[in-house]
Amino acid sequence: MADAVETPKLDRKDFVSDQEVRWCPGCGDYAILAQMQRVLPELGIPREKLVFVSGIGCSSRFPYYMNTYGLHTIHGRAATVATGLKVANPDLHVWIVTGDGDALSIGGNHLLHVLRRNVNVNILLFNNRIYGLTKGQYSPTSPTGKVTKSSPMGSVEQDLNAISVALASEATFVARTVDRQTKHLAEILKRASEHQGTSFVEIYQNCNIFNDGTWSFATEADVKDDNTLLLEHGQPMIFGKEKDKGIRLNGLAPEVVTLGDGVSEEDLLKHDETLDNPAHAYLLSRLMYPDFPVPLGVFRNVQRPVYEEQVVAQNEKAVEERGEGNLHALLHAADTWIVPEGPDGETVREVSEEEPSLSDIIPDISQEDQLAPRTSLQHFMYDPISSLDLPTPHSIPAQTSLSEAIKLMRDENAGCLLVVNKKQRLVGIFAQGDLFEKVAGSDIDLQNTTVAEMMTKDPTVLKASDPIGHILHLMSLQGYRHIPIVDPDGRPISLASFKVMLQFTGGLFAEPSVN
Amino acid sequence: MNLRTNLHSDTIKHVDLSFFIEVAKGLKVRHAIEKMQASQRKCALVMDNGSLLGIFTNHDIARKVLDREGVNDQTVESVMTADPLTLKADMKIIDAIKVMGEKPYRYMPVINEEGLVLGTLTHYAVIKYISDHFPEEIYNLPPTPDHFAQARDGA
Ligand code: SF4
Repeated sequence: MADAVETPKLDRKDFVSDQEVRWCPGCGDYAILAQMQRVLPELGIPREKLVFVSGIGCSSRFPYYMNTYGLHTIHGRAATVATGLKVANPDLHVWIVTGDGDALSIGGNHLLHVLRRNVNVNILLFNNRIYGLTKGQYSPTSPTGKVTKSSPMGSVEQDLNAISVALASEATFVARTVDRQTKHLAEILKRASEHQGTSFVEIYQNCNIFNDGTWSFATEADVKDDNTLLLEHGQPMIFGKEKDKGIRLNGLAPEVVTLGDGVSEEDLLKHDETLDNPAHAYLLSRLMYPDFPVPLGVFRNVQRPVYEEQVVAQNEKAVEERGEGNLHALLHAADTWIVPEGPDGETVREVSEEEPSLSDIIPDISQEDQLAPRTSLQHFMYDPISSLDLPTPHSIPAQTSLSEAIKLMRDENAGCLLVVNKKQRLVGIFAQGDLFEKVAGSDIDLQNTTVAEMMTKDPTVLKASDPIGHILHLMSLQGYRHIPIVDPDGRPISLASFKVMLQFTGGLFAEPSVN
Repeated sequence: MNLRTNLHSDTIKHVDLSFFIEVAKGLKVRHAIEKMQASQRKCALVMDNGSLLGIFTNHDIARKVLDREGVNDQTVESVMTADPLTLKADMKIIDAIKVMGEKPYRYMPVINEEGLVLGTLTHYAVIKYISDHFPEEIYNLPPTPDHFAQARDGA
């Protein structure tokens, strides 16, 4: 065929499914979902080649929310289903989403084997150090002494370090990141996807209902830089809010040192993720809070033959040498027999009508209960957008030429124009960013090209009744500078921008303290 | 983690100042734009041997380049904003926010004590800094506001 079919460029919204998200409001899982939906379009993998496989647990609901293929399998067995899938269809991109219980307790065995086999899948282990779905029992990563519903006097078990387990299982790509460090998370997701072989990523995830703040040492703005160490290949291990501390080796033991006073960068341990010997990565995995900063980033990244490629190659070789097999002949070759059906056929379990429904047993957690804001500022994030004083946007019809639009932007000093149809409904957004990306440096005819051809079609919008937090969500996670606010019919009523939000926050916090 | 306290005590050094590129004086506008597009940075600092001459941003592109004949082949100095407003690295974030609210600039170079360019303060980076203080309320939200469930799933 002469005509190549152009693959449509996907964006974040193409990966958002229509399913209601059933995580507790405020759960860290949302941040991971948001980054996945943001990163996937950049990877350029067609949706039909993507599969999310999960086991059981809160994190395992992930496949429902991705507009890709997905399998919500049985407890601990995501790794096995994913292995089968990958061997049968090696061209799929398979992500396993699992949790500390699913991967390290119930599925502990399967995790070892998928890692040592080096199946080319990506494993995301959402570690919240608790069983969240079953409402708060200790998990294999809960620290010793942790008081939970199933360990009222404190857990007496030694907890597992997920990174150490992965390294001991011969994993070829091992990394750690944090739900709230959105940029780092996105970067690690991309690198995991690119790695050939099993990628194992531990994600520190906050369960704000049953284990709130379990990772606060690594997430709170004032302490996180002192308690975490960003691993960068080839770089000396420096950390701290003022970047004045480092990790040095004293014999085989790591120690924290302060730079200056006779200690220079040359004395520090240097990171090398490509070392064949996993000892370096293992040593890093043992850096634990509170004695050490916890490392974030890629611990290990080495190449080894990929499982399914070798399996497929063996199959092909066997077929080549011995011809296609015959399953029927194989099954009937040796001692086989048929079990006759019983006289009554199958027995059916009877269901009593009295059986209580799920909602009788579990009380609904209403949003109010969970979102109880702790400070007035948090409260503000839930206030409706209508309580902000947002400017009225400039609207233009879709057939406006680029030159008119550019002139209008200049005259009105507008960074962005909203494109509307005859019924005044929003059909696109045309911003300086579009000019920068699509028009600058090209020889597009400004007079004879309409904004409709260059605008961002069908932009993400919010309603006046949506919470203010959503504006900042879209701005900080998606980088949208402008977000149109529309009425129920889709007509623009106002426009939120970086600048307005900054002016607003500046005004709110102008004074150093509130009396 | 109190945003009010941090805005008044943290300096702009604590914000991600990396959203810019540097271009050398004498570069053609066309090539500056290509470099910016390739690195996905909408802001370029025009440098002359380590000292800052001016700033060239997508705002300038929209206003001074696109519908003007021949500009693409001129040097970037001819369209940059010369001697831009710079901020000192020890400025408190709250004060920088005030400046950003009042001035029309989206990008402001940040200078250290020795007068060297440390980075560029952008609207986006400050929005991100603010959002970092409210991970539950901002990052941990469903993809669209109407995606919230009435009841959590679980046994
Ligand atoms: S129980 Fe915890 S982990 Fe599960 S959805 Fe709720 S907050 Fe998230």
